[in-house]
Amino acid sequence: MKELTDQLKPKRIKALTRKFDDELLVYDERRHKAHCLNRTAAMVWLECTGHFTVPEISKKLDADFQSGGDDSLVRLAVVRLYRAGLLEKSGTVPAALLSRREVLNRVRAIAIVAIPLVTTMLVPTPARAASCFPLLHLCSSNIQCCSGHCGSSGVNLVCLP
Amino acid sequence: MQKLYRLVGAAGMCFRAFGLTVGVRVNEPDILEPLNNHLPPGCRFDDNRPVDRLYSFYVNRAQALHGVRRFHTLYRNSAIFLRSENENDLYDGFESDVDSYIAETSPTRFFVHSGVVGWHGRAIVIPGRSYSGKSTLVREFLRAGAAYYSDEFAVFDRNGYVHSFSRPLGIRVDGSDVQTLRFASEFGSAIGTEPLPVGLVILTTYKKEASWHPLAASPGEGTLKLLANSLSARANPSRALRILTQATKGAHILRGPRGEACEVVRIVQEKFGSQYRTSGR
Repeated sequence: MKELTDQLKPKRIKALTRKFDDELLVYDERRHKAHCLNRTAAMVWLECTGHFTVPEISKKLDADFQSGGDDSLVRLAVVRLYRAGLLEKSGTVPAALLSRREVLNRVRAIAIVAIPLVTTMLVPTPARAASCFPLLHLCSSNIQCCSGHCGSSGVNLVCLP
Repeated sequence: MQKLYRLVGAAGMCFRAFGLTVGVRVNEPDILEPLNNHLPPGCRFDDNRPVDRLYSFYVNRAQALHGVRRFHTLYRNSAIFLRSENENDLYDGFESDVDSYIAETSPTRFFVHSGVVGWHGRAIVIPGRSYSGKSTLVREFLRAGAAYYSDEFAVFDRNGYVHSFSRPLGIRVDGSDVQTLRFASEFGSAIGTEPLPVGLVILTTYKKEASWHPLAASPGEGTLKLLANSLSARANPSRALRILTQATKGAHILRGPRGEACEVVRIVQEKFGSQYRTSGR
């Protein structure tokens, strides 16, 4: 499995990005998910161009990470980026490379930089983001009601329990 | 549409709010007056532009007949939006729909579902969904002397400054569904008029018997949370990212569940009160 995934060339998805201090905000317009990548995750993600394997990326970032040739940090970042949907799903997903505990143990031993972190949030539709209506308030769709149920009451649609 | 014009052509008005023009037509001129109380904050009358959206009120003043129900109708553009026997339902429906429309489509401002108060020249923004306890927290800040900006929307301009959207606060009493409208002045607070830079973003929800031990979150996390409560980010994500990163730049972000609102206010006062008074941005 290791040989197989070592050949994997992770490629980042097309997304809107905005650098913000040490972090990188990434907006996936297909799924309407927003991600916040810390510095480590952002550096790895930006190197995932589809031209380099994980060991190659690790080599490129070795000077920044000062990991002494250990690629655990990059592997962990790649796994997390895959899980967040920030890398294109082609080839072998490197989840089976090392167990999470193994990676964390190795990273802990070497890391000068932070563990790669990817925080993800779904950007809601306008109706979901707006205030919801209480019971018996007039409504036009389920999504408007706090109870999630907009039903008929006589001639009107109102929020029902 | 021509039929509708004939039906509600007795009187009308146009107003402009946050870069959008909205028209209102009514079949009974006297309802324009109560309708004024439901217009968006900060709007001004403007009859010189084509409207982006038209609301038509048909109030049924026909003599009540035994066994016949009288319905009042609100149209949004050419389609029926609401029918009700209670005239006030139309005004409430109009108010909430206009607010949503503006929040979703305003070309000049970016709206995030959150409570906002002004505090020593900075805005404290409390994003969150309904029932997360925003209004209670806003009320408590007002009692402590903060200026009222909004308990519904944080309105950001392109520089990331927060503007006022000051409808009365909707306070739910003891977890009931019914909101009671309260004015900021009832809590001894004034309405903020100046746009403010964001000083603090509080990411919290109410948990019974919890105690607030806030953790500092990164500006990126704060931006993400604001995005998750925004109304037009899906339509224009690049604008959303640009405005929100601008807004949270240099702001403190605190997260963690809270208990009583007064505890949050006390901690914020202790941590940031003096800092905001002395520092500029």
